[in-house]
Amino acid sequence: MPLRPTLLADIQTALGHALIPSLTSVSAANDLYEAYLFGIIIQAARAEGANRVDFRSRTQTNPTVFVFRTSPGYLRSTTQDYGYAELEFHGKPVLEVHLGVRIAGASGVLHECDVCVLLQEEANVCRNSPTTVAPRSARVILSVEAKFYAGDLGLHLGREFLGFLSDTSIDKSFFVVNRTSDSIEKLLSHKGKLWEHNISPPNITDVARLRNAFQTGFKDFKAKY
Amino acid sequence: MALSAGEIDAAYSALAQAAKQYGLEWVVEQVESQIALGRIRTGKVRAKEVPLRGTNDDEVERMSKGRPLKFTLSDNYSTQEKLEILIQALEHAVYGVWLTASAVSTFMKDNIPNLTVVEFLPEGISKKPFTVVDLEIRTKQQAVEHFQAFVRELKEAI
Repeated sequence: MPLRPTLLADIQTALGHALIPSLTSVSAANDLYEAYLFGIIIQAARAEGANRVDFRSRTQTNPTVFVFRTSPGYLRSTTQDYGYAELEFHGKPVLEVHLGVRIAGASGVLHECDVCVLLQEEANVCRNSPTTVAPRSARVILSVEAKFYAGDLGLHLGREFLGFLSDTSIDKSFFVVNRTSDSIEKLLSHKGKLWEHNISPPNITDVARLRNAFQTGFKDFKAKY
Repeated sequence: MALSAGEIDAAYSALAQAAKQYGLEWVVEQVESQIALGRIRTGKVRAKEVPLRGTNDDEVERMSKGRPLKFTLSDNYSTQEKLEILIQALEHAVYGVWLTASAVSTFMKDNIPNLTVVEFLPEGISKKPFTVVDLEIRTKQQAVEHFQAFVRELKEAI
């Protein structure tokens, strides 16, 4: 089929109209993606029978302005009134879901968790400490390394994730990406690590599989505590 | 009839230029990095097919008699494949981001009574803050669908 003479110009114009100017940067795409996965984690907690899910910030419950963190930080930070979710299962320790929190690995080195679920008891220690304290990775029950890419992902991202895993003792750590990545999938499968691909709203089957995997994480948490 | 190599090159250049013009340089960078890497596969290569440098004649002889060995190989993408990679990347950056923003907005709105806005703020000044406004996302839906329709037309023409 020949190319319609104005098609390329039409695409160029349509591209300009379709974009939301504040969401064109790579960092905005990644931050949004982390927030999307935050939602899937909460859906998984509900599916596993969480009897309470509250959205809050340091100062408010159900804030009218919900602020997601876009750069790695500490729970103690008061720079912004960052939002998070509280989850509770009957008779179990309360959990919190955060974006972009620094946690401490076994070596004492700090790592960033794009999305993490940790014990509230640990979060409170870090939030209320007079000095800046990072949560211990052993007190994180689920974490996600989130990658939103337009092109193929470089293998270095898989290697970095393996480095993160080697220094942390999180019960369930996932590498989650919006598209496929043969090399990383091969590497992580070979190493027996948790990963999911094609995680994007229209891919219902893939998203359901991830939600189920998160739900399994909560099931294991309930059994252990 | 499929597009000529010249038409494909022109389409690639036009789309890459448009992407850069609208702040999607990162998309073009990721695509060009993928194209430079090539399509990775594992395959068997007979050593005798590969001229060996820095080996003496005996070694060349020994290698040539060996069985094919497993290597990781990189194949160059064709011009058509390069254009397809760029189109797919633009779809992720436009449609994918819009869908993600829409999902975040809907989820937060459904879960927090009286929510007015979702903000994304850094700790410092290194990153630009942004907000997700439900109305803005919904008003872009038609424009996103137009873009998708034109992209589909281009994919059918390739």
